[in-house]
Amino acid sequence: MASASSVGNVLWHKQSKVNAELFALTYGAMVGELMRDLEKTDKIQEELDRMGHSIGIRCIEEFLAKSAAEHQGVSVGAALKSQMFTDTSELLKASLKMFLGVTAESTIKSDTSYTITLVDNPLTIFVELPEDRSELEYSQLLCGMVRGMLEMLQYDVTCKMTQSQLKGSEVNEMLIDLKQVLQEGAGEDYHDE
Amino acid sequence: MVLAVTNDMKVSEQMVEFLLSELVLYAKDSCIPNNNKASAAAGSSGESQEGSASAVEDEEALTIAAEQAAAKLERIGFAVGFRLTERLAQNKTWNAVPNQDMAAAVSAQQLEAVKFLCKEVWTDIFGKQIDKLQTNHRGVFVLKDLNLKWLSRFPSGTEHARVTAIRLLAFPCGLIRGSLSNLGIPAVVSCDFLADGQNMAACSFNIKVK
Repeated sequence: MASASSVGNVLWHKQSKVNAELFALTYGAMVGELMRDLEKTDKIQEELDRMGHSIGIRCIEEFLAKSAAEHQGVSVGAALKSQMFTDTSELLKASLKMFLGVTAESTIKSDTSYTITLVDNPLTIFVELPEDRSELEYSQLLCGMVRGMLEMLQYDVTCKMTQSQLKGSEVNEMLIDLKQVLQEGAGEDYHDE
Repeated sequence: MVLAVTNDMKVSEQMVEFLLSELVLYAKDSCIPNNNKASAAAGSSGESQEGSASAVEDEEALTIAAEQAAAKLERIGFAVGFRLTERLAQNKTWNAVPNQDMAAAVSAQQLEAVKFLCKEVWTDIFGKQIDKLQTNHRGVFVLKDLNLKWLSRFPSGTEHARVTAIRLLAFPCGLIRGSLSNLGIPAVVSCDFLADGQNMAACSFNIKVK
């Protein structure tokens, strides 16, 4: 079976692509609008997270459907579901590649925790945080996406940005912590004792 | 901190569409119909709470909310269109046609700006040019896109899809207005949804130069 990352690359190559600048500008204008409407940084972040969650669900569904098609019915997702939580880092990286074109790295911290690191971030092209908004996690949408994607894989997680290039770090890093496995009726994860 | 070189950075089209659909939803949800206010303002004795008067106010409140949502989306589109065109037009030289009277010169300049929008800007956003451009050479332009990419995945024939499509079209209206504004052409932009039962993705944008 092909690795998740090679699947990500193949799917990226097959996707219709568009200038990342359009994406970045739209996101930026949207954040600007949220600032006008919601004012408070935490509210803005909540909204970005919520939107990201919604997008993440659609992304992973699309990814699983297309990766199944790629490999003639052998679903990458199904194969990985029965393994460890930390294997989901591979799926996440592949999805990020498919939709954002970015190559991410992952570092496993424990059985229930890993980080995803990105150097390129299409959300932040041309962006500088204004001084009075230095607290804002601009790329919170990505965290929401991760949360949504993993929820569809039956994992309830928290995801937060631990490093941000907009705040001066070299890279962008998200920390993903497993809160609980969501039971899906009598799925592989659930054992009747 | 070094900002990435962006000229060749791409994202998947689907990602843009997902973001836009969240944007449309946000615009809709953040502009709540002001039913309570409307009925309170309209009648002092509570008569407006009953029957058809209240229904009319509800309709009005819904219409106003929809207009506010469209204005929000249009504003966001304007910001995007303006900045995108700023970069695209950087290296463009504009042809000054000599020996023309004022009106003809203005008209020619407007046409060149609109053509730039229809070709370079539209291609940057949608990967294709505007399908049809018409003008009366007196400040009115009609741009037709017979297959607007963002609408091409909408299911045909459902009312919900039609309503969502119309909501979404406020964004490209703003894009056009913002783009032209950057090119020095202030205008009012409106849109007609040309969809019949089959084709959900045809639309025409009407530009009136101010």
